[in-house]
Amino acid sequence: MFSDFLRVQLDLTRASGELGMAMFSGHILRRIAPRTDRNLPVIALPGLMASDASFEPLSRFLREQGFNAQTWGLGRNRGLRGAAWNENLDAVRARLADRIKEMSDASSAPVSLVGHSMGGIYARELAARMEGEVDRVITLGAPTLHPYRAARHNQFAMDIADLINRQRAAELGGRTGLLHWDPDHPALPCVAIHSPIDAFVDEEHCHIPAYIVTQSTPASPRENIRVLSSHLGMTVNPFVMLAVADRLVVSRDNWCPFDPDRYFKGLFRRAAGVFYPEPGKLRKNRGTSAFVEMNQ
Amino acid sequence: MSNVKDATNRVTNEESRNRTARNPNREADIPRLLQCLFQEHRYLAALVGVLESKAVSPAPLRMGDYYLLRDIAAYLHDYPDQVHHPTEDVLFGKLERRQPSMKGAIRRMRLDHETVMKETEALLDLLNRAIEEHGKELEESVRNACHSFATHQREHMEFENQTLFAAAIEALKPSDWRAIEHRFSTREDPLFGRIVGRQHRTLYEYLIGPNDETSGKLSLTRMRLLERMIRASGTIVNGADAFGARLRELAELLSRETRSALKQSLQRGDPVSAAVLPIRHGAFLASSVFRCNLDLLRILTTTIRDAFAHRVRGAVRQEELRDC
Repeated sequence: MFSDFLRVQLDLTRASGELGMAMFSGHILRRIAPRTDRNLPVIALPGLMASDASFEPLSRFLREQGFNAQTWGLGRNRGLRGAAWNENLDAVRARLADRIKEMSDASSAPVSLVGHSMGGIYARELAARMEGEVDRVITLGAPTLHPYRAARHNQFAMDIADLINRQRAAELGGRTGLLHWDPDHPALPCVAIHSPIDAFVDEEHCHIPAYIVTQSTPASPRENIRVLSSHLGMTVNPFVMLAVADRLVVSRDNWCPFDPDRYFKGLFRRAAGVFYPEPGKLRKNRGTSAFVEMNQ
Repeated sequence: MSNVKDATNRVTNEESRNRTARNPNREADIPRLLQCLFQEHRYLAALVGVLESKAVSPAPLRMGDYYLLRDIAAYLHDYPDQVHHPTEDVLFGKLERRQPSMKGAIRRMRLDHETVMKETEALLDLLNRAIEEHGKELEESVRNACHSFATHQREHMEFENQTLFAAAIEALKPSDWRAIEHRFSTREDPLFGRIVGRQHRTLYEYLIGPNDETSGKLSLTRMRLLERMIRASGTIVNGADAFGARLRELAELLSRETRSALKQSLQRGDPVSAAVLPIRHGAFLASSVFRCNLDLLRILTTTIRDAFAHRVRGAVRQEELRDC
């Protein structure tokens, strides 16, 4: 618990560094990031206990790139407050429905959802219930809640989340848990941005399992993007912002994986490689899985 | 999850022993169907290992554990009971015709399949009830049922691997294998097959995730850290108490001495004695503070010694555990 508390402090320190990095590199980011002239609507869902302001840097950046980016407008994300998950989600859906319709009418395009942490869980679950009205989902460090094991995340953060939710996170999803989508359902693109140095949620439970990515169809692409970022700083990290903008402009009919090399040249490409580490790098020793053992 | 590894190793070792004991070069000659059955035994042994690890775990079973056990039982009922065992029955039928001397063992295994199926159903019912009742009353029954189920399954698989499958490799002809494969259900394994069935997704993602050994080690580390902190804090609190008592004692002494010295000097009408009083008290305070610091140093040394001794004991304990 104490080490988890220290990890939270470290994450906070990293996030402040990322905020500084975003301030200094803002103009470069705006120059290299993709732009759109279609005024694509994007709704950002903040993480647990975070307010709309937490997404302001990302929203502002997206607006500057030509998106119609707005936060969810429901104020601080106060979690479930003891309510049953489904009821709470239905209430959020009812409150967001008008906003989604209004935005998609204004832009003549379906809305994309970008959710950070618990906001990502909301985005995933809402989109699954509003398949026709949502264009794609991008989650930033959004964990799954596996019914057998939800305690792998930062215990300090989980205890606080339990207090806020008035319910144990392990029991939020009930019998089936809250997992990533199936490979073919819902038929929407889903991108999970995750970080190996995320101090709040376990990376293993943030990224979409490899078998789902492999089995996903062109109509419902599933993609993982690994970015070196703190958990709290995901909404201000310029490399995350770049990945989000890239995934928002990519065509659903012609989906291709995110390639950071498109945006960086020469020495910058090598430097950028550090911030988009490959899956094998920076991996913590988490032990082998039972499945690997069985096949050895 | 260590039991998963043990179980897997055990089955793999026995399997390889069987093969190499007969002919080390014959691994490639094992019919495809039998390779599938061996592989399924390996998977079953791993799942049975999870059941057993939860059954003997000293930690109380949580809701997540019941979900896990229930999903394992559901898979065992869904695929091994419906496809794996019937396939084996067909195989044993062929073996019985080719090798009549195995009749007794084969009859025993067929009966065992029926028993295993009933046991799986009973375990599934028990786990469903435990989930409905939040496991409060049924924890002990669940543990016992899982343990006995795991023991029986393991014995069953060992007998099949060592005796019947080995005999089938020797006795059955290619035409027999082809006939069995024709009758072999084409239904794919919904957990370990190419496509993971939606109803087994949570179990599959549990199995592909990092095993519980890691989290076990983490929690042990946490426990050790916590214990060390408690021990150290106990010593510090005791030391702080002693330090506080010493300060109180000193304050009382000082006020008593001040009062008596002032009284005496006033009675004697000696203003010089009253003037040197602050110097005397300063010296007294300095010596007292020095003694207090010696006390603090002793407390610090004890704390460090305690923490170090605990660490050494922890390392020795780890060594012992490793030896076990």
